[in-house]
Amino acid sequence: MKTLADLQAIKENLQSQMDLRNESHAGTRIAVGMATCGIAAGARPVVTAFSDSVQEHKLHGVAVTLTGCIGLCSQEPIAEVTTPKDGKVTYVKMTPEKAKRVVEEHIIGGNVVKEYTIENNK
Amino acid sequence: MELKELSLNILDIALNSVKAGALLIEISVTICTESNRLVIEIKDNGSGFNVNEYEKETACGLYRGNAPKKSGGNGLRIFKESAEKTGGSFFLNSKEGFGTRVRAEYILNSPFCAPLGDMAETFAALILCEGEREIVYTYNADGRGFGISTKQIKEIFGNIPWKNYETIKFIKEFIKENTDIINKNRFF
Repeated sequence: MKTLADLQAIKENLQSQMDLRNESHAGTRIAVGMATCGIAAGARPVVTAFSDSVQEHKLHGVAVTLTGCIGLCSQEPIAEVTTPKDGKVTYVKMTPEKAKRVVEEHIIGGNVVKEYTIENNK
Repeated sequence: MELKELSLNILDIALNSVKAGALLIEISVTICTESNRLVIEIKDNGSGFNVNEYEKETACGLYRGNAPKKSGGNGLRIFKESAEKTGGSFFLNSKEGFGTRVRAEYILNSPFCAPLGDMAETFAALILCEGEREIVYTYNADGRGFGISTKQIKEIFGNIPWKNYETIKFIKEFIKENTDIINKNRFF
């Protein structure tokens, strides 16, 4: 059975890797709508997919966070991605697969995934 | 509206606690097959609210729309209904300036009882909320249980940022494995 003491090894491993991080993405922020409407529409796996993808790519400085209802319940799950380059982009009807693609193409690649944005899903 | 898993109701209610500025959120799930009950309790030390006013505001049914409302949206009402439709009960207590306690009791074998679902994902999503607070989760089924607290994790990490992929992955596995060991091929 796993015990919390096993975290010690993870900590030591992280400590040794602290200097090996990738380029900084400071100022990048992913906010997933997590009001009741968002949760009902499937926002929970979306937020964990964003978080997992950001960590898998070792993106330093990207904040993944939860936000409330932004008043577009029919378009949930919604994710607002803010980067220094493109400002705030609102993605709608998100899924874990789409989240992965947004991280790879928008945050790493610098190209907004236009087909998922609110402007193209009205 | 209803949520497919009780763990989604728990996430929804615990996010209210986050919004209420709670520094401590305690979530417990207790199952007793002999008495046919599943009990969820969520306790916080957040800002609390006036329960009488809340009940007046929500008396007319579903709250629609986006205008900020004193006591928030539909989450509590949906949580209450999820318990009551199984024949169970719901208890809400809140005091302004002190915190809120919500307790939902489910009749386990009711066909209307949603599965508990993925508490590991709920705990992980709560960890991702901005700011620092202690989140405690305890699970108990027929007298056997386990618990996890973000405070324990933080103490292990000290100055090292603990909200990282490896740690969150570990926490999810920890919750899943320990729940499975306790459940012993039973499904709640």
